[in-house]
Amino acid sequence: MQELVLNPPGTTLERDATRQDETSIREDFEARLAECGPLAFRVANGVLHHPADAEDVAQDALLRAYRRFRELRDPARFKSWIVRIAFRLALDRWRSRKRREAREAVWSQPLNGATTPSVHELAEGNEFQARLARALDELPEKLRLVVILSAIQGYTLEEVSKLLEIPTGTVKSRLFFARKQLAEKLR
Amino acid sequence: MNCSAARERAKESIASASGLPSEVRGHCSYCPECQEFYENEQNLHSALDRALEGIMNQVVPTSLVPHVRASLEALPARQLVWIPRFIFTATALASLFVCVSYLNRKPDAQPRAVHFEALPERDSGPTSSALPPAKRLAASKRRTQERRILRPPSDALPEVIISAEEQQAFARFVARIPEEREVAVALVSPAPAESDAPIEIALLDLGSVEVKPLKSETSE
Repeated sequence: MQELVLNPPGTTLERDATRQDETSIREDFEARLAECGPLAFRVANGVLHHPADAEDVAQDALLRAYRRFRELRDPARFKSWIVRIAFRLALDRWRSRKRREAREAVWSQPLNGATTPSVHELAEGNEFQARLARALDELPEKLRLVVILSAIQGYTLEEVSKLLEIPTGTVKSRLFFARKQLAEKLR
Repeated sequence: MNCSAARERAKESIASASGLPSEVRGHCSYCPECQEFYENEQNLHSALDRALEGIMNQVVPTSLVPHVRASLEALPARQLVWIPRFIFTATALASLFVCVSYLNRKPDAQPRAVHFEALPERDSGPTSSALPPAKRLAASKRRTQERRILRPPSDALPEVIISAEEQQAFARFVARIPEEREVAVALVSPAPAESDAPIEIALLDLGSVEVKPLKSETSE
């Protein structure tokens, strides 16, 4: 005859179940980390053009994603979710950096309106890349994200459309307008 | 096709990464300037693609994933579980506190206790136990009536400040009303309806008048 034992909430059994649940969530998340970590970094770097800042943003995005991981209904959408989080966080950081640079420019060069290349750009010594980075910054957010994702190696237009959850035709047209605007600025 | 239209079409075809249309190709075959423009545009776009790839495909720092893993380890294990519970408990406690504080404020609305001075004994005669039962009953009735009059007014009525002496005098007056019925009747009886009627003065009715001459007591 089996003995039925009722356990009040908060007992060892519930704690064990919670711990097992958390362990499985962490394992699931860490399995995706190897693929999504570099993607988050590249998206952030595409916005910031600064690897150290991009690494910070990618870490922040991944931790935020982990905190909300159990709320994610469709695990297949995790990649597009992490891309959006990383892009938003990178934009926030980029905006605050621009504001800081603008403040510093006002104090240091009040009479000179032209923007000078940053230390990072000078160290890189590639004028074209610096101009391209500035042209990218001026792109609208929607176009910028499409350009960034389609430039990442291994991502076709179809994959970009899946990541952004938009039709392939929309990706193509956004990419066309983005390239046209970039070429106009670089010409 | 003129040069400007051909250049515009060439720009669009390169930007969309599609092949050059046959009309533009035909134009470029006999227009060296447009051919040069097309080649420059192609070079620009290929440089653009290369630069974009260079920016976007930078080497991912090897410290990224280990740092994230370390941060995950540093996170409290049960944080995700207890945070929603804590929020719920905090909300419940806050609402309970609000309710309790509201209930504690409620008794202020009830009438406050007003302390009146003890009414001094009007009769300084024998003690009540020494009185006969009928008189004792009357005295107790009178005292009850006085107390009823001295009862504090409720908060709903406007507060009128009456001195203790006036209150006692009024209570004594009211207590005496049953004894002095004429006064009570005069107090409660309505005023005559024809109070404004002209007063009639009745003629003085004299039965007989006797006139006596004045006599001086002392004759000169």
